[in-house]
Amino acid sequence: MAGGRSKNAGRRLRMGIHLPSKVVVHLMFHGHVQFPSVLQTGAASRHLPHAGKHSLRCDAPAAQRRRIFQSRRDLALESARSVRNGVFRFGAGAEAVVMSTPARRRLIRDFKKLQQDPPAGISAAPSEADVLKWTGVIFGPEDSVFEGGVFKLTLTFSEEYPNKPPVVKFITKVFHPNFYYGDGGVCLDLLQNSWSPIYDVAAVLTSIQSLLCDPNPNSPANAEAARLYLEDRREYNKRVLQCVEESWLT
Amino acid sequence: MRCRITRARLVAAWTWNANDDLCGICRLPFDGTCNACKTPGDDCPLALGECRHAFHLHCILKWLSSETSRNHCPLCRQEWQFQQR
Ligand SMILES: [Zn+2]
Ligand SMILES: [Zn+2]
Ligand SMILES: [Zn+2]
Repeated sequence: MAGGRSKNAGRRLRMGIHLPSKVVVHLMFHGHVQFPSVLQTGAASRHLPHAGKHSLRCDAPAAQRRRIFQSRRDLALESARSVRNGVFRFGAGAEAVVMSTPARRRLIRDFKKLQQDPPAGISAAPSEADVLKWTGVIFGPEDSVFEGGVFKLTLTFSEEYPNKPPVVKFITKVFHPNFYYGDGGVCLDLLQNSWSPIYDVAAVLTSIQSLLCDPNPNSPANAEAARLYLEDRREYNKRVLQCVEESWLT
Repeated sequence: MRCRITRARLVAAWTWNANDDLCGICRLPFDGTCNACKTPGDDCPLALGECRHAFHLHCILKWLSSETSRNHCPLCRQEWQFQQR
């Protein structure tokens, strides 16, 4: 799993979440970069209070561009922190709202384990209203094209968990051979045929994290990504960097 | 001197003999119950496979009855056979 190498990669914050200690900003200072257009729309500024303040022009001086990117990076980290806050809010009321079924009890154990022993580069918490519905975050592993990316996903469990795998979907658009670009679905054998009830939330997220850098182009969910991955790695990396940038905005 | 015991109270301790402390399926200790039961002991026993992997009986039965299992041991994926003894 990806955990080994990146063990000390993330800065461990007080509440046990790992944040990337470094966020890629290269690419952005040279050449023509297509900035995500959503930044300018009303929708984006509603989610991100500071987004509307920066109008971005490619001919703007480098210092100005750098400032804008730094503030975007801060936003990305801020959104990661808000997930952590979600964890915390849940922690307060969790015990009280647990409806006792084996699946829910197991999910509470998964959550406790995640808090006590958080794997590097991932974070997840159940929603306050329903323990079967989780939100997770995967940080792009360091030294990979996905470095700096903050990818959010949803995990939906059934009462048959852990005898049935959760349904996992990316909320953030990720350009990757094994993720469906449209609905964010994940094509991973572990979540289908090779599921085992000994897996838990941490195992699911770490496998998806290692799939990020180690795609399986033979069972593609995104044919274009698979083709570029095999035939035109430069263009593939470019598209990935684009989705890493956009991941800061979702 | 003679003494007469009028009443005695016996206490016995027991523990399951498994390789692991926790059931891999429900993540609860073997010495307690699976997460669907309330009384430990005979009511919620431990099951050993031919592959020597152990789970709560209730947990492994529930897994084997799900179609995802295809009768595999959750740990080693060999076909699950209850250990005969
Ligand atoms: Zn069990
Ligand atoms: Zn039981
Ligand atoms: Zn086995």
